[in-house]
Amino acid sequence: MKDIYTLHTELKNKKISAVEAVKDCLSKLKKSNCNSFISVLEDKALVDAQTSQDEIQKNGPKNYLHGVPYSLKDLFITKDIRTTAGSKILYNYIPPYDGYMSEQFKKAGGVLVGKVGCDQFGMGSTNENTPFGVVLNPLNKDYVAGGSSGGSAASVAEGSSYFSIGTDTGGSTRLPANFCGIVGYKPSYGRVSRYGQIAYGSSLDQSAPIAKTVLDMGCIISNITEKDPRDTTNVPLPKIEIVNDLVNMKASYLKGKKIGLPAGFIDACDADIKKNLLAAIDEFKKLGAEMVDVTLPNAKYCVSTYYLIATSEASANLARFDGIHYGHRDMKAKDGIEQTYVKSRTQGFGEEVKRRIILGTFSLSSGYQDQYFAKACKVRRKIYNDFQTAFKSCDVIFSPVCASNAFKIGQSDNDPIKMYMNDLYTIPVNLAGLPGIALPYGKGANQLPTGFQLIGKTFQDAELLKIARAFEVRA
Amino acid sequence: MSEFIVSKETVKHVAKLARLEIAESEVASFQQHMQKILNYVKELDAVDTNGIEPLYSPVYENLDLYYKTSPLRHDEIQASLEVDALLKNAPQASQGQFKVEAVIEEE
Amino acid sequence: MNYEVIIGLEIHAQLATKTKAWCSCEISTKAFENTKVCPVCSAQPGALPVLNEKAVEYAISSALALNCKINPHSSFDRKNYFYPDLPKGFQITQFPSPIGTDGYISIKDSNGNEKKVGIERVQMEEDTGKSTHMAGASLINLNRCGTPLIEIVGKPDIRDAKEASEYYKKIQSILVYLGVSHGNMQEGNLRCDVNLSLRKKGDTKFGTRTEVKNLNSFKSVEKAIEHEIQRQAALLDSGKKVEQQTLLFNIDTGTTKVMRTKSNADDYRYFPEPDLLPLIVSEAQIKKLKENLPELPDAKIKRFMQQYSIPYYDADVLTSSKELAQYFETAAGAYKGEAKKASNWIMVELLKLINESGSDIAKSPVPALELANLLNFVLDDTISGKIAKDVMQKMYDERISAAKAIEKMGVKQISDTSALEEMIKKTLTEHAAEVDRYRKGEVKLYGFLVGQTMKNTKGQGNPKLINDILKKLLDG
Repeated sequence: MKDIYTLHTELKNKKISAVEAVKDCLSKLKKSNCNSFISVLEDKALVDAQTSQDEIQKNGPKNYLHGVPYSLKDLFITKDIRTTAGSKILYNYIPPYDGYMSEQFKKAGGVLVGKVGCDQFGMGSTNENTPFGVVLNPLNKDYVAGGSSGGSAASVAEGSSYFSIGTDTGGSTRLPANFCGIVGYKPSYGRVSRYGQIAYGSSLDQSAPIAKTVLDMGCIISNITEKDPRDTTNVPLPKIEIVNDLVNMKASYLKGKKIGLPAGFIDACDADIKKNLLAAIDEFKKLGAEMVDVTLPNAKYCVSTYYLIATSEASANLARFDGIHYGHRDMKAKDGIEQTYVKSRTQGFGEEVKRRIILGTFSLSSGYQDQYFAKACKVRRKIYNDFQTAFKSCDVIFSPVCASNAFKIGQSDNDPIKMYMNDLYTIPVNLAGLPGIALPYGKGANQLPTGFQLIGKTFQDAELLKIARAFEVRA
Repeated sequence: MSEFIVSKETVKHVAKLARLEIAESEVASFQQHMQKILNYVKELDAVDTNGIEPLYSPVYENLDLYYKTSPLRHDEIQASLEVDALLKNAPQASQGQFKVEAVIEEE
Repeated sequence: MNYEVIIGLEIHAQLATKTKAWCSCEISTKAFENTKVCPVCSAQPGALPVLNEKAVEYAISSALALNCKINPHSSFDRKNYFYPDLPKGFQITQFPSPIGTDGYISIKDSNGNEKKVGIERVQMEEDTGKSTHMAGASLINLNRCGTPLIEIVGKPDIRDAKEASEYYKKIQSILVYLGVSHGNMQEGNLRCDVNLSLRKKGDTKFGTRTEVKNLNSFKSVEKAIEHEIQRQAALLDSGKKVEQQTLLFNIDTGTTKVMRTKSNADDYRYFPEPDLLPLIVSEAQIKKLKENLPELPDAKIKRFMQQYSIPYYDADVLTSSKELAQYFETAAGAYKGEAKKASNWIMVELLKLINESGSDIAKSPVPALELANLLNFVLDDTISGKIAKDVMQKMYDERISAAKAIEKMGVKQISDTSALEEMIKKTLTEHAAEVDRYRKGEVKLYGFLVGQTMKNTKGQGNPKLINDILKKLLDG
């Protein structure tokens, strides 16, 4: 399994051409057949690869991503390339503009293989909530790849992209990365511009890369942390340049690092997951890290808090899909504009999206907002404060990614709460705006990967990546 | 929050606000779903939030950082989209405008 | 009538920034449809708003000029409703924490007394697009969508139609003085909604109010209020209830029709806009904007009365627009006589000509300095006061200077004593009989002789000199 850094070195040393690299990805895509893509841009990718190769031939790669095949979750706006949000309502939408992500990778000279599948508007944990079909887990096709960025995780795992950018509102990259045995990293809220990322829950959404190694995260992150004046919530900090630090990283970096273990987190996991988490903790200890007990007493309320906030924001964010200016319109609805709205939206959105819009609309509605939305925002502050307190005694926090690992397709529960509980360990990170990284570690009873999550302090993304890398390079 | 019983009317009212149509046959399923979630989120009642300000976004905790430089935009004109690019996704367009084949009720 | 009328005005003003509130599209009323639209203002998926700093400055200046407290930490909210001119499906506005609160302006009430009208809040928000309705279809133009607005919510301190239009005029004049809005009602730069209710005299509780929209002139505000008072009073008199409704005013019929009845269906579900930061303004910024506020109408009136010794009436008229005030100050400054004279000429002669030709003061064919020149010519007897009006007309019609007009018209006053004396002598010779009769005591013939002299000078003789010389020759 070749990572970005290795490919970059080979491109630089002319051991491989960008065209060969992308051809290899395309053939892996066909072989794997996991329905990871919504739109494969085969012809365009080959042309772009040739262009990159010509540049590399002349001057060498201009950065780590030059000539590297990648994919974007179909929530990222790509000019003149269909962008569906995994939903029927944008089935034929061809954006008239480029989002930040697309622009940055064009600038870097990356080769876009295509747009990958996801739960509609990022709403789901299994990638089953989409008319484009469930994405299969490349490691075992009976299993889900996870969601909502299932296409991103599957494409990296199957080798059709060297990296993929997903979105993470409540765990949507960390969870599928974990289900597919690779690395998913959600930067601090505000660290990466959201311009051109189709919104779900604006105060929680963050673009988030999926790749094979932590080192690769370093290669990607320097290209996507340049301040974007078009997103006010994008923090004006210098971009993160840590590839050299990560290349030279030694496991000894962990010596004396304090790693917080939140009370009760691990015990709630499935037995096989728990076993592996404990093994990982042991390794950290052996490498000289100090495990510190911390408490996040309000984290257990995160699912309630998250669903009220995310759906409230979504109810407004998804109001623009009304069939008037773009997207699906019921052409038969002619009894007034109201009918056009209602029919177009009802036909365009999937079931789970409608459920969340309805919940969010209710949570904001007059007479209930204080009890639901506002109450959730207060609990959100308590969760935020819990982390601030915990971080007084540790550098990063160790946590499960999910109580289980990948489950079988169609097995996801009809009970919405059980379904939402998949995100129990990833959600608090979004609520508090922290950086979090899911790392693969071990295998579960079903022979599919398991892993753990490290959570960093706000805007201390570099330190989080260094600690994760130090663990990655252990002997 | 007190026990909230989700009625069919609630579901219909909220759906109407959200401009969604729920078929009569689906109302019960939406109602159940919503009831389950509202029963679950009742757990928040147990959290003492007296004197706690809502946190609407993590940015509120880092305003100093955000305001180190002005987060506002200069009042300088930049190119708009070409009309064709703007209207290319419109379900219907006419005379350089979006078209709706429906009379718009006056707001 | 046994009712007290309670009126509050909500005024929306488009800010005169170059670009829109959240994006860099040009604000233009003249551009072709949908040519000033981008991903942000057409609400393409993934687009995000970035606040225009000029809009913030304008909003703060407005709030300061309306004597509001400036909120150092205001924030933006989403107001959710579906409307085809509003592609996001929500309007960005300020709900719990607007930029300015608790201000007031002074107006003259119906008895001419000074009255303070409270201003509850000044909030920043955005305009919608525009749709045109045809048979069975509508066309949508988003050029206007996202234009920054301020909404000025007045307290229910207004008691009649006249006060309402005084208040509206004052707000307009302040905003235009500040340069933050073009203030043109026909163009839709300024829009006004009236909230009106009646209560029995002596009651402390407010009655049910209605909101009247679509008022695009001072006159329509007055007429709509008068009509609505009558309508509500008639309802109450006959024991009926006033329904809480939004009404549309029709200026042609002078009546209102129901647009919608307020109900539970209006649920805007306001919540903080997560895509924008709270708006923080520093004390220093506020101070700077305060210092840079131009002189506002009230202060100007006071200064004019003092500095130029003109009455309140004149000062009020002359400060009704920034341009007119500027015109007066330039003219009065260059005029060597009393400023009141310049004031009279501007208010009577100039404004008459301007109104007749449908022009405005900023484009006056007679610039302020030329008006001063004209008046100086009267003052130094170059021309007579009487002929000056004709000169003014010529200056106005032909866009020429006072000197040029006087020369062209040949109306320069003859003030050369010896030349005049020659002319008078000639007149006296021609009318020897009348001179004789005058000298014999028929003194009323003096006027006749003055007239004849004037005739001989073709009206250009300096009347004062003619008088002196004539007296000397007749009586001397």
